[in-house]
Amino acid sequence: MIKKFHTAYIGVLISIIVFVTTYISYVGMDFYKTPIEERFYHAQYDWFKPSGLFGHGLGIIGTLLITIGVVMYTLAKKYGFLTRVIRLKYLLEFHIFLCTLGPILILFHTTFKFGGVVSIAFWSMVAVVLSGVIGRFIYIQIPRSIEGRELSLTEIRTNQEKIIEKIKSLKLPNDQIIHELADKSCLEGSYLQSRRRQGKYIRSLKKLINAQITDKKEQRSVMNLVRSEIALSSRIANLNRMQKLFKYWHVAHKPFALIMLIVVVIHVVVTLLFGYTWIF
Amino acid sequence: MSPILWSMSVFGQLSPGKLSAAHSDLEGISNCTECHTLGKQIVNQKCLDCHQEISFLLDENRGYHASVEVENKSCAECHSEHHGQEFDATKFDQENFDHLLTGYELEGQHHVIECRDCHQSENIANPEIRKLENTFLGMNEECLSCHEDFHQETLTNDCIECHGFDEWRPAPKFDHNNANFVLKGAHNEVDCKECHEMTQRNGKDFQVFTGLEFSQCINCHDDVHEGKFGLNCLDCHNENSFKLTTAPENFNHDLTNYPLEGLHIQVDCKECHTTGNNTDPLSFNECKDCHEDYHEGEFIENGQSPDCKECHTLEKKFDYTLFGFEEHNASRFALEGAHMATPCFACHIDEADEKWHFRSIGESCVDCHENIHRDKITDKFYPDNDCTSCHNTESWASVDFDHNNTDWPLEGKHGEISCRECHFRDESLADFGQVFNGLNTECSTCHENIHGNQFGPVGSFSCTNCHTTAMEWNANSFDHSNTEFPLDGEHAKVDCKECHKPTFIDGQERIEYKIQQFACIDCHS
Repeated sequence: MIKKFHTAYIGVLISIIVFVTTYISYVGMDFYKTPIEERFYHAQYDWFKPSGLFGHGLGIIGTLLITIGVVMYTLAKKYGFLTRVIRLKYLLEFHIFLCTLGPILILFHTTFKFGGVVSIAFWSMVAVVLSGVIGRFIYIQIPRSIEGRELSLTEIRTNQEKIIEKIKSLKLPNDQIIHELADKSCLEGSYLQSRRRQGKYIRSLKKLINAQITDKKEQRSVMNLVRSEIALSSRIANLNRMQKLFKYWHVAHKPFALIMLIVVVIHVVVTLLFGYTWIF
Repeated sequence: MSPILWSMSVFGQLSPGKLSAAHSDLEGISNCTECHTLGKQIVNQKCLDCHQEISFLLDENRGYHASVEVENKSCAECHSEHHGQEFDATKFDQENFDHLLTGYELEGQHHVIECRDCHQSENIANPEIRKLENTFLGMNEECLSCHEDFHQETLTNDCIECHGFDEWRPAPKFDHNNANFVLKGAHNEVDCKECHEMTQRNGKDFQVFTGLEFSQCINCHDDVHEGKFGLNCLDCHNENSFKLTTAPENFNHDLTNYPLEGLHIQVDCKECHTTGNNTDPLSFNECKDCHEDYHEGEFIENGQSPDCKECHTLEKKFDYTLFGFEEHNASRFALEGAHMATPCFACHIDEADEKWHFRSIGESCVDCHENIHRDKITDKFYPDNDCTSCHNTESWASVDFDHNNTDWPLEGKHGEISCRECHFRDESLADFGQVFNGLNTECSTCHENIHGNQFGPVGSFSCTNCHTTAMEWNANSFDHSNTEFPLDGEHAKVDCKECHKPTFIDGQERIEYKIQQFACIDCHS
């Protein structure tokens, strides 16, 4: 996918999430702000209540979105479903979109009644979402192929060398930048220390590049290569740590998702059992 | 995931929220079907199985839940649950609630008061419903179920027979005409408390409406007459007012402290009872309490004015007086002589204001009588214009004047004639031509000289040569012997006229006394 189409694609997904959230917040603000004990007597109670036409719909649609997101991504990852058509990376992004929008709809479906014992289901969902966000962070710390496959250390180093070769191929006034890039002392120490040093390191390199190259476009091109090299170096440095974390993350993310799935099933079964069938 | 967390999670999905406090005993996964029916959400019958009080009302087809607005509704449409322990499942729009749907229309003040002013446990008769917290059930339509029996069982329990819904007081539906004592006249205007007085009974305010004695007016009204006029006030008064604007028929004024006598009997009541109310108190100790003092305080002495009855009587009008001769004679001006025959007004009505005056009208004659003499008589004989120097009260004409005190004592016939014969020279004049001073003593001043100049010019002779004052103007003083022709013989017996005959002297016919020729032949033929 062309980068700008990808950006637009991401932009559309984010916009949908923002719009839906804003819209529901706006139309339902008065109801959702009403204390729980008073909501029954709110004029729009029958519309927004969890078993109401709108509120119940939010729950059902939200659940469907999550279900689709989970099932689709799980099938893609485990069985290569659609991977020949869409790259796993984009499916992950769509999975994140559906599993963000779905919980938001469910959030409004609950009418924010998630205190006490009743909240377990909701917080399970929140845990899944948050763990997804964390997982996404860890995910991008591990270098991958375009298809999203995890690269081996050798493949990563090869990529790194390709970048350095690219920089070298540029007709720079001198090899001071190459020389500076060889210095990896900024990657030492803890993760946070390393991030801080990297920032400082990048700023000093930027100054050096700007001093040697006058063309702005060329400056940006070199800087991108330098950043990629440092990022790659950093990921190589943290690769082992991130791979371990990612394993642990799967242990957390999947069970929460499973709990949520079970709870949703129970919730739906009980609801149907008592005769709350929405529009059906 | 621990089993506890699992169970909590599952339970969380089964119960969408805490039950309200009233239903808190139904909390728990095992109680869901106490209210819910599988596949049918909430079925009314499950609610009614517990809420017998509603079920009872529905069976009786009474109350709001049996109304057309509710009859086809699910209980859960109005009474939700799972909204927390604080949730009030019976909350409704109390301001706009149509109470008529309950079968009991709110009227008047019932619209204004708060729901809970009536809907409170002490007003609920049923002990089971009374236990229900904040319930609106259990009321009945009897007024006394909410309202205290102010009349303490002395009147009917059906308050609305008399009272309305707008206010207790007054009781607009009460018609006093239906009572044993029908209100007439001013009784309609009187505040109820005037007759039905506020009192205390059983330690509470109480107004007496029953058992009141009303056969006689004095049962309520004070008899200000203290029984003087009997007990039937209506003989004189009526229900409109105790004020009497007209004389009651056959009213006996003699029963009052002021019996009517004399002309008072004929006087219109309003003449004395000027306020328009014959019962307004009047002062009647003195005549002037009613009557204007015509005399304007003339009789005040030492600051005290005598009452009219000193001189007047009730039997006759004020122009009649009891003040007679005896009283007048006891005054400083006793009536004597002609004054006794003089009508009172002659002296006591002032021509200036044509009013009667009795004081300071003067006691001297000239205060009443015209002083016709003015300065015509000297102070010697008319001192201080005192008429009594000459006149008396018998008659003006009766002059009691001693002319001997003057320079010209009256003699003879002069003593018999009227003064005016000499002193009033011309009665056609305003002052009658009075002459009292410097009057000439010559006879001719008063008497006419009928002899002409036979005896010489006037003043050259005196009448008294021949005449005297003692006799009738006879010339008794004349002695014929002193003339040139003394009378003797038969001449002494002859009447004077035989010789002294009328002839023309000084231009007119006169008797000739100065006969110039008196030879015999002059008289005898």
